[in-house]
Amino acid sequence: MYQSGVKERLAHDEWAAVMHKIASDQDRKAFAKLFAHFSPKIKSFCMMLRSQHTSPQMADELVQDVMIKVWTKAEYFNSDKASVSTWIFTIARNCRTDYLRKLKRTETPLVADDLWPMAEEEAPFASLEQHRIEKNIHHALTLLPPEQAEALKQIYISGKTHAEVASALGLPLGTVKSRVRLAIAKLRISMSELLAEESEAEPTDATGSSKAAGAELEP
Amino acid sequence: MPRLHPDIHWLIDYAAGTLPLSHALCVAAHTEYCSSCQSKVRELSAIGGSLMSTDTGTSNAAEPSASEELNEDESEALNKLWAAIEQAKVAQSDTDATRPVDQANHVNTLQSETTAALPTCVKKLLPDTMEQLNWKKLGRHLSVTQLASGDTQREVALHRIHPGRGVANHDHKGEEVTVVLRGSFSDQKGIYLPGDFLVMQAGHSHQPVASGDMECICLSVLDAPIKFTGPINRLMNPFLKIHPSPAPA
Repeated sequence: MYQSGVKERLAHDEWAAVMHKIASDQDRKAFAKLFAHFSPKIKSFCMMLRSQHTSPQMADELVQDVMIKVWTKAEYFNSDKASVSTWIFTIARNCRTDYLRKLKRTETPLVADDLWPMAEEEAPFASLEQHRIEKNIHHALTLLPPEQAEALKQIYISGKTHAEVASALGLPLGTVKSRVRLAIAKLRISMSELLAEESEAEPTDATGSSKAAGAELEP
Repeated sequence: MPRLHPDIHWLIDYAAGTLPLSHALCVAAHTEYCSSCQSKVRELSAIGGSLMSTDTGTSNAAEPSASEELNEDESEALNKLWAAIEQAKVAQSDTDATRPVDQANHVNTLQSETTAALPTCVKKLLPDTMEQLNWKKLGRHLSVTQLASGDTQREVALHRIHPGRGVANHDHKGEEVTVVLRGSFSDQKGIYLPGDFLVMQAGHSHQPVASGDMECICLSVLDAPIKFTGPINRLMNPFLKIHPSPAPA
């Protein structure tokens, strides 16, 4: 567990270094590396959207939209506020929203970046802890019970509402809500445990409090 | 710091990008007042980042030092991308040429006393001054103006209540989300200050009164028309309907 944490941190910092090369030197080789790693991830993220509009063509267009933004907005990436994968996720989420909105052809001056301001624009309340929290979420997610991880995945990746997840899984809405709530609570507990572990010389028992939140509430 | 916040499920759906645009606007407006929800959203977005990089069925080589060769399709996609980036640059320099006009508008917005304190995401939907909006009177002390949020199922509006004045008692037939943007109001349950985020369910009835010192401006999103319950105001009910963004022809 400790080792995988170190490895993830290394990867996190390395990708941040790649982003800084792109931002400061317009380094095309660094961008190609980022593209090789992230474009398949963005593509499958887009392909997993549950929508009548989902198609390989849509996914390819979105990969292009997202990577253009990564290149043109690279200077705004701040590794203190978000990991590269979270930053790219927020760009992909916004591009996906704009893509679907354009298909509906509704008249509005709003674009997704107005409704979901990207981390760099939220400067006034930047959290110093964010950098460490991010690194630990990644690990904590792997410890979630599968049904809770599945619920989160359907919401974040497939873009389903809680009600849609409930009908897809054949569960009452309340069950889905409690799974999601428990998952989030557990991630936050794991985060604070890992933060405590890092800051204290004596490691604390990492299993105690996550067990307390472990029971699934089935109505 | 606001006292009433969106429920965690709202914040999750917001971070995941699954909230309807009008509701996302309300959460975005709230977070401009609320640092605690801002950092929650940041944490919740990190879950998305982590899920995208691990759970999407692609290889999980997390290190950039590992060699990641582009296959033929990917090289072609990258070449297309460079071409598109060049095009985007040209388009950008074209918009830069027109920018001075935008800046002039922006200055006007800042000079307008009533819009200066409103959240950035809401200001994007407003003309230079509040007076340029098409305000409709709903009773003596309440006026309302619809905003083009792009949501075809819900009405997004600004509500303006005169200082110290009330709105007639009314029922909510659908869900109503309200974010206080300026001033404050109170009802039977308490007082609501800037940034406060309220969700009123169908069937809920209340009688809001603005505080005496200044007018109260709220952002509100309605699923269905409200219904006045007083004996005289009830006569207005047939004229009340919601006005969502027009659906495409």
